[in-house]
Amino acid sequence: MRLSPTIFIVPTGISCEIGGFAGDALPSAKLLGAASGCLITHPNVMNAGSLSEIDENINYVEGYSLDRFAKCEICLRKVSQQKIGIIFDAGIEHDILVRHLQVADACKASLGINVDSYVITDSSIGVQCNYEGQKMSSGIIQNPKTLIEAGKKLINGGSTAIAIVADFSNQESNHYVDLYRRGKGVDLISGGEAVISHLISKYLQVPCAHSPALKPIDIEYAIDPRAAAEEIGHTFLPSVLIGLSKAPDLVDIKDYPLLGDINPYQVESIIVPSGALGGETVLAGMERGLNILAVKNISTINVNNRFFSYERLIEVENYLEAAGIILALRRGIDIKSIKRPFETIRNSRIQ
Amino acid sequence: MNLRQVQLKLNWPQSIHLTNLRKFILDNISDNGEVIRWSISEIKCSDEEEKSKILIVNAVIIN
Repeated sequence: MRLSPTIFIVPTGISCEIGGFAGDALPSAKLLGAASGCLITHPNVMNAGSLSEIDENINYVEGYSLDRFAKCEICLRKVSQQKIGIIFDAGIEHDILVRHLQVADACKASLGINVDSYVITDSSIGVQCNYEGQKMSSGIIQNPKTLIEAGKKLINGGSTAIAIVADFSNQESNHYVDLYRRGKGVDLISGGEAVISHLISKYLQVPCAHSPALKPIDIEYAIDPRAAAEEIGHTFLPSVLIGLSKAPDLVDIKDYPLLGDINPYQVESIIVPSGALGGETVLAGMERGLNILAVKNISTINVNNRFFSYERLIEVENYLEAAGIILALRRGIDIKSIKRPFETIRNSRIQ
Repeated sequence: MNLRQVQLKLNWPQSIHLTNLRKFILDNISDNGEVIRWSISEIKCSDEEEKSKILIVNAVIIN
């Protein structure tokens, strides 16, 4: 059966009911991957703290690069394995750094992942997260240059993908963290995380993803199951290394794509929460007339199709329905043939 | 190299079609620097017929 390359987005830091926590959109991604045969999605969907999964139907692409893919600037090339280098923030405490190195060794020893080398930044990255009164998590870093320089060292040493571990130990407000862990708040640090990985994608153009280094926190007895994947280990690095281990290479569209590359011009659909249509990938998809499957997935923002009136938008109740539509598109079955009441051709005469 | 967060309120002119909206927003953000991350966080309609729309755009830029 032919593939129907599909982009799946759950924006980070807006507390989506599905996907706003610890990789809790991953089961939906697996379903959509099976339906499409080729799903392109981003770390926020796939990273579940200590948990993640390799799925041959799913391509793991960092958000900035995903935007570039949607804008037809790059294509994706499957690899058998990436050679991963890790950037550690100089601000990370020694014992926490050791925990992360143990994770890297565990992924090498138990999963066969090629974690090749690491560097420590020359100075602290200086993460600053903002969330007070905002609908979405946001943040910046004080020292982007030290981050990029560290990445260059890894690439010069032969790394083909980069995991970044920045120090977020001073960024967490107990009140907001408690809300998040109980399933009632925004993932406060995710906006800052996105900026870090976007910088690496922009300036170094390799697969990358970020994992925060956090201090151990007390047990929470009322943990929301959707956030539980972040409670079961000392670091969130395993999911990043698993995701990056087979992340596709990013190939400039002008560099003669090869047979087998995932070309952005093959993409037929984008699946996104119905209130999160204001991102670059979705707007780029609308420019190209792609199908936009807008899924009811409550979040803190509501930028919906009422404002855009995009004609090729299909509203669906949930990801199960989205998967059915993707499968219908893939098999060439008109979804109007399945819906009732049936639309007769008799009302469609062109004069 | 410095990062900065900005929030822009942009009037979405009726003359700008949806297919040109992304470029319209990027042209406005890039007055502040090179764009790292952006999205529309809110859209407000300034009249009942919803002909005039104001975009709230959050962005991180680098200079």
